[in-house]
Amino acid sequence: MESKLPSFLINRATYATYRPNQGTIKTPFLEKGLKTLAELVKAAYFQALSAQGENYFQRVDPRIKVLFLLIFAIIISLKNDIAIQGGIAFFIFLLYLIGGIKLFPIYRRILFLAFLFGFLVTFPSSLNVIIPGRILLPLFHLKDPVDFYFYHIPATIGVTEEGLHLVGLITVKIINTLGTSFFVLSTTPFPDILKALKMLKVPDGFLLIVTLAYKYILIFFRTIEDLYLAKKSRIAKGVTNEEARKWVVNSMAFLFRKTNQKCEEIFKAMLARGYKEEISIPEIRKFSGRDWMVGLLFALSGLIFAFL
Amino acid sequence: MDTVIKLEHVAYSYYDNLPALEDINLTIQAGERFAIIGANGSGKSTLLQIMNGLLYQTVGKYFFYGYEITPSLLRDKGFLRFFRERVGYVFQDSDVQLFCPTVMDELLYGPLQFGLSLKEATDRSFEVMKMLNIEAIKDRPSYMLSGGEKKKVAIGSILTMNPEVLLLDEPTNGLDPRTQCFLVELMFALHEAGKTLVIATHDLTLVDDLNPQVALLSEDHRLKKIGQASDILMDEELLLSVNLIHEHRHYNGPYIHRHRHAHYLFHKH
Repeated sequence: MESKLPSFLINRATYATYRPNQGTIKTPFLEKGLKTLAELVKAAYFQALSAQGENYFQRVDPRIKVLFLLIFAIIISLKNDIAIQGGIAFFIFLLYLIGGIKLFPIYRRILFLAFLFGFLVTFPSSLNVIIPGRILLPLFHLKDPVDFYFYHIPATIGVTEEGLHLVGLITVKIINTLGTSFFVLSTTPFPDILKALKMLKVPDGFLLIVTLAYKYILIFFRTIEDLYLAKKSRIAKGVTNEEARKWVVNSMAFLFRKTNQKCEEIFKAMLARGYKEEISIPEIRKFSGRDWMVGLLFALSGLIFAFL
Repeated sequence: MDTVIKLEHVAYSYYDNLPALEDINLTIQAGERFAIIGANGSGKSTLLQIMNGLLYQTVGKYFFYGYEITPSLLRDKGFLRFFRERVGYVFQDSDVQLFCPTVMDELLYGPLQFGLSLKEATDRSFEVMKMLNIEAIKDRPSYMLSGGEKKKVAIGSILTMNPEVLLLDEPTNGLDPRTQCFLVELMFALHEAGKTLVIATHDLTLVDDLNPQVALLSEDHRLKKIGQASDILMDEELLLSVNLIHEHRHYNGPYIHRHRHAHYLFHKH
């Protein structure tokens, strides 16, 4: 079975010599996006790992933390006073401090997401075109006000006090919701969250969807990262935005097929191990003194914020 | 002989939390056969990915032909071409490596990236397909290939780039004996053609066949020993300590007995 190499592999190849100062390669926007996504998934994975540590809140029963998340999500959505929302934000910050959770990476993510989905999305509503009120910062001046259908565009368009208040309130609400969610996620491994939801009588069908979606997303982004590395290992020049777009479009179908195939295999493995469309939990442990204490702290703080 | 790859005190950890490599020091010369061996999870693939500039070590230095590989150097247009032209990486999972619509596109991808004309790239692809005996599947998509065919296409897609250094991650993993034998022959031929082969594997039979210089990784991700394969494979205690050989039971005719096994050298009855 002797191998006969083609002549181009046998003859000594002439490779390009390294000539410095030919410029640097700019990473296309899409590639940057892929990298960021992969980093986010890595961070999520790391979060799941760090959640298994031994800090104060990591040893608290997951049921307490899941209930805390649900109750605080309701309180945050109902309270429309910025001062109370500020108090909740401070309380969550204290929980991070007590739990010994690294603040910078968590708050960087919280603030980025709140800026994106809170501030940027709601910012147009700070204009008097959407919410009328006292103009703090005039931006444009029209000759006359414009009326069509039921719309009224005033002659001076600007940022209003009432609009800014609303944008601020929504942004703080998003910061608080994310803060609470990340607190629970960074102190509770994902399987424990599912167990807690199951014990809290959340339907199995919903839990199954959440479990498979979690798995699917992880596999999906891991495949994206693998594909990106495979491409990177064979790229010897800069890639234009157009080339990057073409590559992403070509890889889409492959990606979905591959991840779908993996998920089907996982589901088959579940079936092969006796899965019967119901999730069983091995044990329900009794609450410890720490669980009662933390539960009481969460309940009291919830009551205070609810009735303020 | 030129030093192609030099690693100094290289360490890497995933998510800043899971150590994958600890204090790795090694040197690979041009035209050398070099194997990185170790049990599953010892860090072999991570080491190859660092050598291919896909991951960057968290501690230590990596030199390629004397140039220290850093993210900024690999963003340099001139250096990227210099580096990628010379180093080809065959991934452990061929599925990951094959991202083009058909086998032919896969083989053409690398050479076209390096600026070869379509005619030259096509000629190379056909020559490689002939050598690997995969001409009949040239228009097939990668998901319609068997495991052995995928591996051949993955290797072919790197060979059309004609790199000087070949990084092969578990090249014989999951292949039938005939394809394994074919790959070993191919590796011999590539080495005779002057290529530098760096293989990550736990297949001790492959290591024995190629008799390369061996870097043995322990399960705590450290370099346990560097030496010639013939010496390392003879050291039963050393291989036992890194979990590359084990005791097992098997039938010898009608009799069942237990002994250390992983490689025929230790298959003593």
